Amino acid sequence: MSYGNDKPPSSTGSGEVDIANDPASSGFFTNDFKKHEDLKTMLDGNKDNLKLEAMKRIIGMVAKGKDASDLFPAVVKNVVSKNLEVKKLVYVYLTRYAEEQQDLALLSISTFQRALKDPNQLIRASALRVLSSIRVPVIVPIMMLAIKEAVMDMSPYVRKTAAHAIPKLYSLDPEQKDQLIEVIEKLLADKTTLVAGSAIQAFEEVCPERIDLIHKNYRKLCNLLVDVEEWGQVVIINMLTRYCRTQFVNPNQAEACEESDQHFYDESDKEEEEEEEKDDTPVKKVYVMDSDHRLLLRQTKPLLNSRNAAVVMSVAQLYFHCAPKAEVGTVGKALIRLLRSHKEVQYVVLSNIATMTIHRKGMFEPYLKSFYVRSNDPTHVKLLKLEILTSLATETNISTILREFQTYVTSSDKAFAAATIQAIGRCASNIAEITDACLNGLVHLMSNRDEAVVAESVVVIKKLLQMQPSEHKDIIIHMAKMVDNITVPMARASILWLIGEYSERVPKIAPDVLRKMAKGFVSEEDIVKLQILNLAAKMCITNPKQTKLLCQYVLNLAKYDQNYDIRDRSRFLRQLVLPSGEKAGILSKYIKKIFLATKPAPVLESKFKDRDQYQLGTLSHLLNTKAHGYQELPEFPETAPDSSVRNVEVPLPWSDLTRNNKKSKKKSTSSEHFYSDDESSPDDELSKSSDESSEEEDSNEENSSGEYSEVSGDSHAVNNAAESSEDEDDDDEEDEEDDDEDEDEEDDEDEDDSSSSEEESSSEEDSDESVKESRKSKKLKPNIKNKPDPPKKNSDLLLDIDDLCSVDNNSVIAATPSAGQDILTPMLASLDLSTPAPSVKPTVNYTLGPPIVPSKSYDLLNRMTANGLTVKYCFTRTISIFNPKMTSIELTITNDSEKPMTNIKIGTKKAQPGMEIHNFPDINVLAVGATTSVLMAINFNDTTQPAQFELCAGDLKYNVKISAPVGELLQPYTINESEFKLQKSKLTGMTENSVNVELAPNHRTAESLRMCIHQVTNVLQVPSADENVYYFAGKTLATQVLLLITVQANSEEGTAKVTVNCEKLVIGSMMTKDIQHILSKTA
Amino acid sequence: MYISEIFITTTQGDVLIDKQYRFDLTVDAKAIFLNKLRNVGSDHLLPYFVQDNLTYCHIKRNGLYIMVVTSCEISPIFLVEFLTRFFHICKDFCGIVNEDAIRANILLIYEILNEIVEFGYIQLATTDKIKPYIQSDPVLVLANRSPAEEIASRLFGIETRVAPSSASSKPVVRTAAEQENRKNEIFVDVIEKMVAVVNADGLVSRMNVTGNINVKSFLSGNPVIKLALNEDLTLREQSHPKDFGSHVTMEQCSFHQCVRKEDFNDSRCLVVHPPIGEFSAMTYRLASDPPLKPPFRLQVYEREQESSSTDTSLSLQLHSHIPENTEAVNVILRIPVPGTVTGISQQLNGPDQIVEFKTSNKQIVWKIKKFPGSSFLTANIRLISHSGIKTRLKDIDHVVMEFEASGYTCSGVQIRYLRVFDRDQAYVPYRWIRYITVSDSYIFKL
Repeated sequence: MSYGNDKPPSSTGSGEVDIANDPASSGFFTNDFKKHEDLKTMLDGNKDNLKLEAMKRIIGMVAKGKDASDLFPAVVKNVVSKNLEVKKLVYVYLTRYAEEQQDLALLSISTFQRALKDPNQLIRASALRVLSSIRVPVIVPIMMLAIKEAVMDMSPYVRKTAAHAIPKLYSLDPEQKDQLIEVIEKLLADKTTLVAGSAIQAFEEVCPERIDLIHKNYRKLCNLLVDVEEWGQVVIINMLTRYCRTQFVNPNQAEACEESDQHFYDESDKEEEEEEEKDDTPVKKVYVMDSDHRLLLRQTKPLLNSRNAAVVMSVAQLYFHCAPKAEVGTVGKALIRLLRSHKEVQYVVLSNIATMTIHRKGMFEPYLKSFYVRSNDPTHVKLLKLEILTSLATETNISTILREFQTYVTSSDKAFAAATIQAIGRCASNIAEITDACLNGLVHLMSNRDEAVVAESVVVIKKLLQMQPSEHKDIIIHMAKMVDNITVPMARASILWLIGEYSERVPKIAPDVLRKMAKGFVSEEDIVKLQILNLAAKMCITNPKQTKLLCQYVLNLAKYDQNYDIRDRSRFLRQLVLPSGEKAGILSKYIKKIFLATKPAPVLESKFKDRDQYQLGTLSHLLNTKAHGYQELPEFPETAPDSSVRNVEVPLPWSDLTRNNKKSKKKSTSSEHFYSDDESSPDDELSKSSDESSEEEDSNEENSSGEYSEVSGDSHAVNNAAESSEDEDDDDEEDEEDDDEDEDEEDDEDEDDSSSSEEESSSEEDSDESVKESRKSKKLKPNIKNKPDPPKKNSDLLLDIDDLCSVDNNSVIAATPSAGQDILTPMLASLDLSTPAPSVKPTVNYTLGPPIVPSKSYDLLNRMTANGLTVKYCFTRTISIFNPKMTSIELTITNDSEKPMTNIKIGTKKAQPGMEIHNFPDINVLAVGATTSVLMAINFNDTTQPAQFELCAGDLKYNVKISAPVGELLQPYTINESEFKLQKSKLTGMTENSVNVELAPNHRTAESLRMCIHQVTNVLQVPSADENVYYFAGKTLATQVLLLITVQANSEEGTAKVTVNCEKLVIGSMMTKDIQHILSKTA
Repeated sequence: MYISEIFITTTQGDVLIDKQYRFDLTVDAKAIFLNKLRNVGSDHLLPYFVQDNLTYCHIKRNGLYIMVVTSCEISPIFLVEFLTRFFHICKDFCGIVNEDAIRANILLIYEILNEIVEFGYIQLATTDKIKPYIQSDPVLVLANRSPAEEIASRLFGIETRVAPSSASSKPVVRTAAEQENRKNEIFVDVIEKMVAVVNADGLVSRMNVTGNINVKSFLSGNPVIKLALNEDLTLREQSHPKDFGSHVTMEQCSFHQCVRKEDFNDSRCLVVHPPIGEFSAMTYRLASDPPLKPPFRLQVYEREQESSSTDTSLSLQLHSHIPENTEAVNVILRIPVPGTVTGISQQLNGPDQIVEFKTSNKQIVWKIKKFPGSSFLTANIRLISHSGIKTRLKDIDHVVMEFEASGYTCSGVQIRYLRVFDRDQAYVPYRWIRYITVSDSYIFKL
């Protein structure tokens, strides 16, 4: 056994490493073999600690990159190990070697398949993770199946894992693309933040071209963005940038847009704007940003404060590429903040800033000082800063910048000093005022000790002089003098070129320089030799008297040079300048034009000029070459594609509500009239109402303040109608207000954003208010009030808009057409075009569904027993967002103690078999006196047994239990009267509980009867033709068992007969008792 | 947006740990990187480069290269941010991250790598989220005092007399066994970085100080702590007129999300709920005007030489203006000299210092180990030149100084008190407060 083996790897492990590095380690080969034998015996044994030890060593080997594949058979056996630690390490091992040992790997598959069904979400997830990591083509179908199932899993964590598994499967077998796209589509619709990032990741990997899949999820993604984990944010923002570039028009081409009115209207997706189109033709021709475009910009802005530099950068690039020019400035500060971070980050950020400054100079001007070079910056960072400073230079700040440059010139970093001189040159050429000052400064630099500095300044001066050669004779003279001292070839060549070009200005000196040069010709560098030839030729033309001989001499020397370039040049020049035969004469006539034509001045511009072709923040941009896999950022389309594709979801239902509440207070009555006796064209009506219906759909779906969902949905629709008509009014009155309103709305939404996610109570109030309003309006218009409402608000229908098409065989709907002017009628009419309305009498004792029941809250913890923590709970009666089988419970947590509480969460759960508890999100900090509401959900499995769990606050744990009254285990169920009776007749005998109740005096009206029932339980009233009989229907949450309640009231005697039919006997009898209790109770 | 491989190598080129995520690389990325490193040299290696359609990105920390390789177009900043985050997670788990620590904790780090990235996609990257999935216990490695690490570890706290040296390099994540017998300690460091350009006449032409209050808590139960800063701090709003006075004026304060700053405006108190791990509770920048007095000043004289030799004799005097009871350590002055200088001779007036001449980049390096406050040091240096050109004072470029001053903040920011609100009063917390000022870029113009 080797030395390395004796030491447990957890000690230092250095022994082993030494061996690995030792060239003589091949001598250990045999031992190595033995060592593995030893590990095998450890793995084959039945002691967990030995197995663990062995696995640790094996993984240690894997981590160091050593081959451990021969242990595969021994390891794979342990995949069934009960020990979690061993199991985990085996998983790690499998993902590494499964591909190499396919046959053996297949042995483990069944274990994972079993684990996929495990009740523990973590085990399900890790099984899926490993299964998808085994890169064996044979199991592709199994993987596919597992992924499809996992996507439907109720745990978001598992769904997230499924999203990660998709690219794995795709890379293993690209043939599966179509099936995977279906899966991705499902994942994209997921509403949890945990899944969103991974889903988009999978989308980007598998089908980035299917941008159409995003439409329906666009608004949701925007709204979720803030809560997605940071790495997901980067991916989503990048995807949305692309989306934005394909779906919206360029916000900076307002002028271009003005030409056609059409653009303007295409962008608007709000119905009021469509309305507007008809009403007022003289519209202001201003670019109006699509509200979805605006939404994206608004939602990403807070992310500029993220502590993750990558997030900040991606928002910055989004703004740069997609925001109106005026708003891009906001990212400046965030980018500057990033400059305080590590130098690797600085490098990227600076190169992006460099590109940005070329286009948006003003953006970084206030932060000029941040770009001053520091002595400890690495050279590449220094160069970038220099670049930025140069781009930022303007007439006003140039003096400060030049002063700064002066200190850089003397830097010991030569590359940097040279770049500084070039930067000075660029500034000088860009800003005319300072050109002279710069030139002087540069000339001054020519007397610098440092050769590199001198050379660089000569080159730069040459360029500057070329731009304005008229003056500056003295500079040329000065430079001519310097030829003797300067040794850097490039600089010498530049001087010679200058003298040749402007020899007429220095007629006395030029020939002399040529003379000197001719003398030393042989020892010069090639580049200098070429310029000497050049100079000689030019001099020969301008001043043949003095220089013809010199020229000949130089040409002769060059003829025998080692470099063929120089030899060629010499021959070429000789024929031109000193023509020997007759033939060349024609050319020599034009010789002056050939040699002394005015050359275009060089343009000194930024190296970053062309970088903007790449998307900011990408690798390609940084490297200025197209990196592998770079996707071009599409240009904005000329006309925006249809924006209604995103319409399915309205981002926040209650944002509209609050807005309505404010406005409709005054106007709701009139507006109701306005809308219901509608005069507008049928088309219009149709589009409006379908919009509304979808909105309502959503509001129901998302509205978590459950018991109101239906009414609030309704009132929402009503109010919405009010809103739109009101907007019309406004538009008629004054056009300008439109814009203001839009802003208002934005603000509202912003506020609601925060409140809606955390505090449901507020939204409840909202809907409460709106309920009142809708009732108010009902009073005013009694015929509307009594109208039976279509049951599309029902839970089953909530989830899918398609169901709307099938509702017409439901008799409840059939009841509506007679009511004619119901707000929803137009839509329904449009859907069921031909079905004749069955003649059902409008019922008298039926109102809108289960509604305004003050939710009863129960104490879970009180401040005395729980050190100041007060927790109350109430049943929201919504479909739980976590799982439809769960009862949704809202906890209201108040901190009544003296100090803030931290880390409030659910600890160990002691659920009975079949029960499940879904945690609420942990609360990190609850300030003193603060109250917060969170949602949790429990699947009571249709029992009234309590669910027990621990509530942890900091280190303290409280055992609590929640038990649901039987009425809370139900959900409303839509059914019509005949069906009700049919079902009831099936549930007789044992399953029927019946009781006669003496009605309390205050419960004798139909209204209060209904209220009582709704208070007790969450059911839906079934419209009935009989005046004194009330039907209610519901289903249990967990098992979907029907529960029917019949109340036959005898108003004269003040009694009622309550009948409850339910397959579940316990529930039936308990329900009967509850109803009896409440009906006989005097308030 | 995926990564293909991640590995950690030492500066010598030993690969410590290597994890492939996608098995899609056909070339040996490690070899390519190490080759590049050898060819280019560690100083000139850009953090990003591309070869054969593969993108390489690395960060260098504590003498280790943490390298990531990817074959797709990916935001470079994303990679760096990820590597940095990975480094911090390792630090939270292992206490320090250096070669020995990684060798000892190879399994743990492999587990971390396994959890934070899934098939090349980053999934979890915070210490507390990842903690439940990690099975191995960290092995503690004492920070050995190799010079490179010393500089890095000292940033967190100088190990002189202030606190037990190993404490600050303990892992934040505790193992079960440690839970009981761990001391309840909290470390608060006020670190200020100084960028300054000091003119020959001792006036400051530019000064820029950024500060950072770093908290690392080992208190059990993560209780709330309260930090009180000195009351004469003023906060400068953008619109606020300039005020004159000696007190500290701050600009651009930003706070960690766990900090509640309601009291900050009135009593300069911060209430902090420390999360797991090390974090900076507050970062600030000092208003640059009026400039603070520079903590160090350098005077250089050229002494007349009796003979007509081409050598130049310089006398350097370095003054320290920091308080007497504090000291600056690891002071280094770099004096660039013209290329004509071929050698030096020196004469120093105190112990613990050396002057070297680096012929490769023509620099004189004056190193001072300890430099007590309110004192001065002199060095006489003779520049020997064989080329016949006498070096003049004006040929000497700016002198760059590096220092670390402990127990001193140039801004005067102080922590008046640090209170731990421990519910049960079960223990007496050990509170360590340290002040340090380091040079970011400190230049003397001559």
